[in-house]
Amino acid sequence: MIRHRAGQTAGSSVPVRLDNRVAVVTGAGRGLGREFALELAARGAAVVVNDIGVSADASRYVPFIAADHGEPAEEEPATVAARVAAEIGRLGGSAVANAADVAEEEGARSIVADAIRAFGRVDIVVNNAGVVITAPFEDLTADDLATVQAVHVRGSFNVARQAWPHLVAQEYGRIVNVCSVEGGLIGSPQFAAYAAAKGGLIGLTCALARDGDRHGIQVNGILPAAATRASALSGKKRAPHVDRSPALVAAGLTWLCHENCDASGRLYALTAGSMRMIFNTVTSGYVFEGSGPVTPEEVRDRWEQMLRPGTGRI
Amino acid sequence: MRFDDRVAIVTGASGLSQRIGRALAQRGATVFVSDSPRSAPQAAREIAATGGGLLAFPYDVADPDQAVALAQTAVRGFGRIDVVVNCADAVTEAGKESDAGARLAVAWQATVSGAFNVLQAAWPAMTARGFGRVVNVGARLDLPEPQPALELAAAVAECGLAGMTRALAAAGAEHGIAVNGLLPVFAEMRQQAASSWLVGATAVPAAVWLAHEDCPSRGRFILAGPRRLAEAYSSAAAGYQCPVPTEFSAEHVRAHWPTVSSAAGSLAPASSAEYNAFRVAIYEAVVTEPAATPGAR
Repeated sequence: MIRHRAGQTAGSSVPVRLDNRVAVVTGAGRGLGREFALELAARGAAVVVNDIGVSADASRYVPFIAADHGEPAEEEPATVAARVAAEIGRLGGSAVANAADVAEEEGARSIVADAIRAFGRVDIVVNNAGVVITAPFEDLTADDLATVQAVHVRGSFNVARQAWPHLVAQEYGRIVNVCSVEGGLIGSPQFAAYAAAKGGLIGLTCALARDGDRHGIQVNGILPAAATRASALSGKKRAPHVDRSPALVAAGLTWLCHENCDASGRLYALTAGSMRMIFNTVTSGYVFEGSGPVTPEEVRDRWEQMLRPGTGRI
Repeated sequence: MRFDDRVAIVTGASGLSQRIGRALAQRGATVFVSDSPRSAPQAAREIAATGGGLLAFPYDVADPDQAVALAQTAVRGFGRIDVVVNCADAVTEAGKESDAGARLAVAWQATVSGAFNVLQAAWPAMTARGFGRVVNVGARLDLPEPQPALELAAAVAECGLAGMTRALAAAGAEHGIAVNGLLPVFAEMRQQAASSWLVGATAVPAAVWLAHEDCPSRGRFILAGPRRLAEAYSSAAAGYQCPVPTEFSAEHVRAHWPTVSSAAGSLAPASSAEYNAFRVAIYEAVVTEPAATPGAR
């Protein structure tokens, strides 16, 4: 059988399908995670919808503003995941709910176990669970950093680690980590802790991509921007005429989860119906002649030659 | 290049951190070298042997209280903090554990939490004077080649430090605090003793320059090889914009994959505003229908 490779199917009307695939989506009770779960299910994947809901320990997990979907602000923790799973069921898809905390190893174990128990396998992991904590640097605490690290970094690590043996055994897997332009491309004053966690998630993405290479496991990161409860917390100004609906970023995720997608170890920014690579470059730099010690004065004198052209960042 | 009257904090237990501290001290700075309680006595002996200007303290900055104590010691003794060089070695730290989860935790703790704690403790002293220079050694933008495959725990910690560097570069701008990343590179250097002169051949003088008041850079990531200095930077490509955003689908992504995965038309944004202007301009050029804006704010 000849597989359609990416780029050879322009204009093809063959739908992108994920039938017989099983996906795990963390933090899928609301916002982007919910869109991801609905989209993957609509494409035929069976989905484990994971979300702890509004944490009982809301002082640690930011109490979100439930404005975007007209949801009640307070809900029983387990119900947000269950509601999305039920929604998928009503639309004719397959889903189960899981309310475990990805930051706990046992929680991550239960998520993958639910996929195996309910659907017999796991093919796709979408590490979307996250918390947004923003404040001026001086007001952040070590606990804030620990919290974002626990959910974004350790949580994604935990779920990937639990799924990994299954993916290796079947020589196939797709992992998508939800990273951020904050820390991945740009910096904003109030994001020191969040950007550290999201930066760490980029490191995890690249490291897992390297490890997964020989096992048929492809790992990519997406950097989405959409209007959600989480983004409302950042308090940033937005271009008013740009449609920032969460639904408009799910398409990119779907393709990265597909067997015909050949990308791995890449980062893609997704927003408002667009998809673009975020990538790193190294300048050719400056080579110091000879073998003697290089002095700070020499470094200073060659500094501009070594940096990339353009002075925008100085 | 002089650092007279400047007070610097240099953290980390590696040979590199010692050498950066010594270089700053030789140029007139008062340097506090923080080290973990385990290795501090040895570090103190080494530093004592080199003579004045360097003060070693057995503070483990992965503990926020000890980071505050370190900053207070500097401020009480000298009334200021001008320079912070965070120089924990994620690879060495990760190597202290065998379980993958534990490695992740210790590398993060030493590298990211340590830098976060020290900077937070030093921040008021720097903002009060409207001046600061921060060098985050180990901050990594993950790159395909020619850098070696790094083990997972160290990759996570070093990329985490880079993420924090970006945010703090933005936060420091209005206070005269310049924050940059510096990464010693090349596979072979990892195999040698951390004190190998090669590791610091360009990294030490680059750290000194980044710590100096005349250095204009902020938010940059410098790679330091045995004889080469280079800059790593992140860009956003023009990519693909669906003309009718509400119809954007996986089929579009598949059909336009060469455009989606092309680096063409890229921008390395200097700020959040520059990046937003870049993508809004592409949106406006491609999307003709005025959007119904259910999610916009």
